[in-house]
Amino acid sequence: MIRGLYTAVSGLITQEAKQDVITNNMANVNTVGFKGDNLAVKKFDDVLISNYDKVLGGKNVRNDIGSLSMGSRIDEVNTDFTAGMIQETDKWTDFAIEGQGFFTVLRNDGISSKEMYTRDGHFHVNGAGFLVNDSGDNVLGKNLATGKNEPIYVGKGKANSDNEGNLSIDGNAKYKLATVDFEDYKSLKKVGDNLYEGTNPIDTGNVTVKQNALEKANVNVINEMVNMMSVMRTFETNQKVVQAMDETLGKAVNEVGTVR
Amino acid sequence: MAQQEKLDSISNNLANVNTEGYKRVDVSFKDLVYETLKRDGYPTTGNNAEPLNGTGVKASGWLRDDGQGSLQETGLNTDMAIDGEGYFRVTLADGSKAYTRSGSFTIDSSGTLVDKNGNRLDVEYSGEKVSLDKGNFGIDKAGTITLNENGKLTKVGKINLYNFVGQDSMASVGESLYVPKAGAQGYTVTDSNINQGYVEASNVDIAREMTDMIVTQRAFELGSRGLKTADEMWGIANNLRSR
Repeated sequence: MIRGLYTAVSGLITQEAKQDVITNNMANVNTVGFKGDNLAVKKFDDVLISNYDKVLGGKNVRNDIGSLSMGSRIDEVNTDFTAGMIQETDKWTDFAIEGQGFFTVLRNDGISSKEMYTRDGHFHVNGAGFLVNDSGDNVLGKNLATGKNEPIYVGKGKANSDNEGNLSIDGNAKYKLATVDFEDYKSLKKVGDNLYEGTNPIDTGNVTVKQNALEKANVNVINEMVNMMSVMRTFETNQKVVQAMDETLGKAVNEVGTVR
Repeated sequence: MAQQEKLDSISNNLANVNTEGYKRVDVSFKDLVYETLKRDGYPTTGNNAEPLNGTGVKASGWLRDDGQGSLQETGLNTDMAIDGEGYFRVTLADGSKAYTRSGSFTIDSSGTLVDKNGNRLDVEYSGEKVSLDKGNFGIDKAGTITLNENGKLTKVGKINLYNFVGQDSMASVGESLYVPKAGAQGYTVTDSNINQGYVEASNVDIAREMTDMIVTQRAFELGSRGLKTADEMWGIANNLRSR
């Protein structure tokens, strides 16, 4: 039928997906260490339109009309890894990373355990005396005596951290928070519970850790609001385009050729 | 929904701002699972990593903040406040044990220290159980109870403080009492001070709770805005045919 119909519909669908991403950002505006997402939209590759309506010397010849884009499509979801605002709290179990880097936690799903990475430093001590995150996953630290990464055991004591993440428990230097960084942040995959899955982590000691502080989400509310408004209006525009096409089609079907 | 939970916790904190020995609760948030945008009918380029989209937010469990509350002088020698970690242990009417930070005790007719609900405070007596009355005893910082009988001082017992490993190992059961969860590892606290004649105020900071409330309320509003917009977009899609 009319190509424009499908072009407009592709716009409707991508705007819908964009709205999904924006709503997720807004829902997580108070989530510790949350990093906002952004949906990149790309246009379909142009196609060359040509017809054979031109008659030259009794023969139909190819006549190029021009190129046409077939609408928009979803390219990728980018996560914005800029730092969020750091808020002071007065709990020793709260940690925030200034600048780049991630905490390492061990997620145990009952069958196997896997290292995952997070910016969310809202930890607490569980009943067994280990430092865990909100989901109960063990926070890993490098044991200063053995040099191995293992769950941090605090017991009934308190831990103090310096700027580099060296933890001393009741005055004895015991662990260093296992912090990692990645060369390519695009390889990180969000898995929910404020965790990321990643490959090839680089152990880095050069991470500034702040105790008694939490990193807020880096979502800019005003930006998201403006994006949402423009998404809705674009959606509306596409709707109008579809309606216009529909009208044209209606005319073609019902009125062309009728004798009045 | 998650913001609602946070509002609940804040109003709980504010309601207990004058409760002795109350410890504020804290709620944190987690994002939900991510789903792919490569669905049927969605135009994608397919040349990059899978585009993922989150599905929202959830509240994590309530976590008690065991920071010290300020000490208020009452002048009553049956009031005690703990400076440091630890809990008083009381015996409930049914014989089970519970723990509390609220040190506002009185003396019942049989001469034992009881809390406001009549639960007996656990005291380790050095000899026979003695009956106390309002003026005849003193408690030092370590919890030792000294009986004063016409100027003659005798040590009669000691109040022990208890604590459990971990911040989520105790459950609040109301009336300022806590019970340990199954498997919690208990231990006796030795390095905290007991201050006679004081009670511990709640550790809720009103200014902080208020700011939290404002932020949470705005986030809630933001959520409803998103909902409204999604609804409007649905309306637009439904009106594709007519105008």
